[in-house]
Amino acid sequence: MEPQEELIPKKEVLRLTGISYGQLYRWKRLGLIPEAWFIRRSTFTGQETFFPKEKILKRIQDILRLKDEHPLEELVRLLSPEVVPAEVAYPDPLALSPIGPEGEALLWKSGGHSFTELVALACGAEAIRRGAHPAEARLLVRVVCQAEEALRAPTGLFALLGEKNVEREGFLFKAPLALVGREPLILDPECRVKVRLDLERVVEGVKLALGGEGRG
Amino acid sequence: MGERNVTVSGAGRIEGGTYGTVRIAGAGRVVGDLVAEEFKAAGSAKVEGNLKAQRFEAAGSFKCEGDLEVEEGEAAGSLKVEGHLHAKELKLAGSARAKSIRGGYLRAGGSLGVEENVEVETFRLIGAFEIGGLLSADRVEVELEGRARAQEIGGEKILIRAGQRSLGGFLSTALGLILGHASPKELVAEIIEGDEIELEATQARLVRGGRIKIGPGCRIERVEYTDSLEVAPGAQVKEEVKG
Repeated sequence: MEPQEELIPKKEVLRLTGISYGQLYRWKRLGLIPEAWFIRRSTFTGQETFFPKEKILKRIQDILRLKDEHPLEELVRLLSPEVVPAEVAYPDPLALSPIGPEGEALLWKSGGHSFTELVALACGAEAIRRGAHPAEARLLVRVVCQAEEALRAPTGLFALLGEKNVEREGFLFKAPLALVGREPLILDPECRVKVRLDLERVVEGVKLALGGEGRG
Repeated sequence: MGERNVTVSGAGRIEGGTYGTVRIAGAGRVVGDLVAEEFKAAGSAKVEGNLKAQRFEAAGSFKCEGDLEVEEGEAAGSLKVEGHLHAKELKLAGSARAKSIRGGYLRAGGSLGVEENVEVETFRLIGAFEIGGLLSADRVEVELEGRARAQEIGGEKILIRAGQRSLGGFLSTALGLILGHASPKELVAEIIEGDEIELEATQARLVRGGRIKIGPGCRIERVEYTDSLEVAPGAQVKEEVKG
């Protein structure tokens, strides 16, 4: 399990960032702030809305930083993982910083890549940067490619790369293992997790890279 | 692309598909999902599926069993959407129901019933409503002509007024028929949050925002404000907190 995220009440978010109620509700409405981040808790004064502290403060900073250069509707595409752009055919994945040169060993085709494929490549490249073998990383890329539907709401979604000990006729093998799922993920004790990626972060990284670098 | 137009007059059935203009006068049933440039129904119309139309007009009784997505729409009479309603611009008169409403400009006269959230840019309503979740808009303007309830109201500017209409005139008569003369003009919400809030005849647990005016007929448990607070004589505020 991931450690419990620190929560922050709505009023405190407004005080720290200086944004207005109007902005907060407008950004929620547009999907710039995911529905999943609005967490209702009972307090002594009744129900109150809380947010995951680190995520909401970073998101608001990103919105405030980018909103003068991009229309809000476009920011939704850049920042909000829920609203995945339908078909981004991106010709040069290695030019995107979340993928980078490590992605070269993972490419299985040339030409346009869909958004899901870019996210998958970013996962594989990050796994390589964290010491995974390219063959293992390719397995991770393949499984993330199949998670297109799940990637539309990536909050709490993780991609795992690990290995499992397999014994057969007295020989011990290590078999690579890749999976995508939501926490809590429980694996048998013979599995060892080598790389764990928060897909929400990977998705956001790819979107920001597409928005910034695509513009030159 | 070959555009098909279809008209039902009297009673008839339309297969789902893509059309230019669909007109129903009398009783019409659409079977399956339908996409149209223009959808116009007068009388009774039922869509057994999703409906997507650039321009939408319904008079009389209209029911959609799936989602309704329109660019620009008008409905008078009874509108029932069992799924989600999405509209850039929508004008409603009479009674309307939907699972949720999203969009740009929404103007309604009469009664509005929504199970989940209403999230639009501008919300203007004269009448009554029952919203199970959040009502959010940059600008919320309500003139109460009956009971209104929402779990939460949030936005930039929120104006709630008790209707001043003396009965007489077509609109009041129609509203009276729809809402019943006896129902009190009041709004009940758990939380109301906005940068500028003016309330009348409202009961809420928490009102929070920048500039707040609590008008006659209000009963508020707690007000939290940053800039200013005015409480009219006859309004009840149990607790005031600045900052």
